[in-house]
Amino acid sequence: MNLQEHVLSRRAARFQVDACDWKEAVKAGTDILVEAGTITEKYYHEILAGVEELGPYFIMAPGMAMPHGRPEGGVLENSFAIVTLKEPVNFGDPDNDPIDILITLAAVDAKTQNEEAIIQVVTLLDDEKAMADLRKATCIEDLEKIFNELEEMI
Amino acid sequence: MIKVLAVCGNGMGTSLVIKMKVKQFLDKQGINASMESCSLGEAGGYMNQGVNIVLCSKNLVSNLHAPEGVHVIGLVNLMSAKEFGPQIMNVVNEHFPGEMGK
Repeated sequence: MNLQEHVLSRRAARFQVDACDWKEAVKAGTDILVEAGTITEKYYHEILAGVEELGPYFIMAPGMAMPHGRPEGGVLENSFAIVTLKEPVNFGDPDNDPIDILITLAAVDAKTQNEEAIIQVVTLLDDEKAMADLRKATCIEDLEKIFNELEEMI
Repeated sequence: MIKVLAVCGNGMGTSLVIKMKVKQFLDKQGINASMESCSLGEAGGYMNQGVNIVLCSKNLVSNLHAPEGVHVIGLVNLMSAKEFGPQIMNVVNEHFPGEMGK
């Protein structure tokens, strides 16, 4: 499974999204995947229930989140969605708030096929230029350019 | 060999990210270590099988119930080697000096 292929082929990204709170921000990502047919509506509620139980467990680093739930929470196919917010929102993680980049992950299991994509997520989130460009991106072509530049570096 | 475990809520995403970043770090430092990841629910089983170091989000540390002798490192930024690196090195230097890279 390849992050870039998944996101670009399904056009699974929304840029400069208006979200008034973290739930809307999460929903922007899950809505993309529901539309793509890779998860069911249940997945959004699964993620919310997870936060209720464990706190915002998917905050990766300052400004960045990777919302995800368990496979049995409505995942039909491995997939990703990228969302950037016009205005950052707080997730209740004072050390890393506010968040304005979300990579929603839906995985059918936690095994190796997933790990390849996780490496790509980490590579993307780790790259300061890619993150700065992603925050400015307004269309899927901008995202494609970011991926291409990242790939040249690897 | 040091056994290192990354733990998160459901073992699907966050712990995999920690595992990737920490593995890169351990390899670079030449530390003789194996690396696994799992969910909070599975962590007890792993820890009873002789895990030496556990890494997880700071928020999860209190849910972990690590047995004595397991070194738990709670993280804020899960991807920052600047944050977890020195903490891992402290544990390795103090408890596992024999596993340091030559």
